[in-house]
Amino acid sequence: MVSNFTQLLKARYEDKLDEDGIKYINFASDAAHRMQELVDDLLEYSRIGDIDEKLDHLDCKNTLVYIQDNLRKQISSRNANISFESRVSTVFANPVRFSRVLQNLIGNSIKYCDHDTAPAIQVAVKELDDAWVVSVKDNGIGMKQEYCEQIFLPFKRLHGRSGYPGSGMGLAICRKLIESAGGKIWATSKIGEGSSFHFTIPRIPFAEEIEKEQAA
Amino acid sequence: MTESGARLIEILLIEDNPGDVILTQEAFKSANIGNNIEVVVDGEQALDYLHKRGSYAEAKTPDIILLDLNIPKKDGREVLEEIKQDQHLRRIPIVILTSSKAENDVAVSYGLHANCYMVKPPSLESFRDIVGAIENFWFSIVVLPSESATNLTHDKTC
Repeated sequence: MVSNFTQLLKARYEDKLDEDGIKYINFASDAAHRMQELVDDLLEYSRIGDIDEKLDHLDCKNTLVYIQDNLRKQISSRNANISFESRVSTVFANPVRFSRVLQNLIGNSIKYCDHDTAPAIQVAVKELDDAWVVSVKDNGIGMKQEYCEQIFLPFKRLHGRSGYPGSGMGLAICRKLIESAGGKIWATSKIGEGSSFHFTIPRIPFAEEIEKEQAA
Repeated sequence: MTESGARLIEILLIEDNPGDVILTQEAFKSANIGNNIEVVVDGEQALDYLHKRGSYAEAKTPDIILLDLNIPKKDGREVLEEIKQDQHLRRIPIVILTSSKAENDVAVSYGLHANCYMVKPPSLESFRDIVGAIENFWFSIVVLPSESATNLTHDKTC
């Protein structure tokens, strides 16, 4: 509502306002937009515990197709390339958590990339005895190693609002999604040399067999 | 309304929200004491400014620092801690000006030797009141050490 009326105010009275007046309206509508984003993200963060815990066999390539479809606007405007090279083709995980985290990480890789570089993102999955390790590697702006842990804290941001806007909740949401499913999430990075984000999905002994039997 | 020749009060505002920057600047414009506000938008910039590093080689040491807690890169708590560990910088009064009302933030800030903690008010009028209070308290009521005096007091060599 705040957003609608500030926009209406701007549309209707822009020619009657001086430079300061227009600046104030822009601040108001930006703030309303940010507040909406923050409320949405906080709601998502607080509802993570309510996710249906059902696990399923997920085809990684299909999940990536779904994610690319969701992110098609960002992908086409930045001319981003997302590749998947992995011998592992499926994971046994919760579909909501898996796709949400992967989409968030890929979205970040597109966003935190130099504006004159086309984002190149590599997704890979490794299978260990007790977990799958999913990695998202990019050619983005990177960050100092000292921030690689802090960025998973709620509201932690490394950039001012003008260059890379956002609520600072994205990676906190990812961490909660992964850790509440028993996994871990971490990042490695260097300024100017891109970042790699990794998360694990625990392989619960016999869970897949039980699931198969129940299905049968 | 400055007396001619009076030195301007140097204020360092460490704040990443452009809206709050404008509000603070506007409020200080109507202050009774002549002042100059410098703005930095994240914790690393703030420390570069205070240590006069890089492009801040010519920066003036501020008379007071207004510090937001949730800022990019190094956050306000880290900035506060570093300033208060520095022999020369720690005499500068630091006013925490944040939207956080969390008890923990208040406790941590005072624990790290913040000089006072203020919550950003929701209305423009009270924002002006707060800025007025900062100005009145720190620059009319309180006596602060002069720069030359500070260097005398704490340079104890071991």
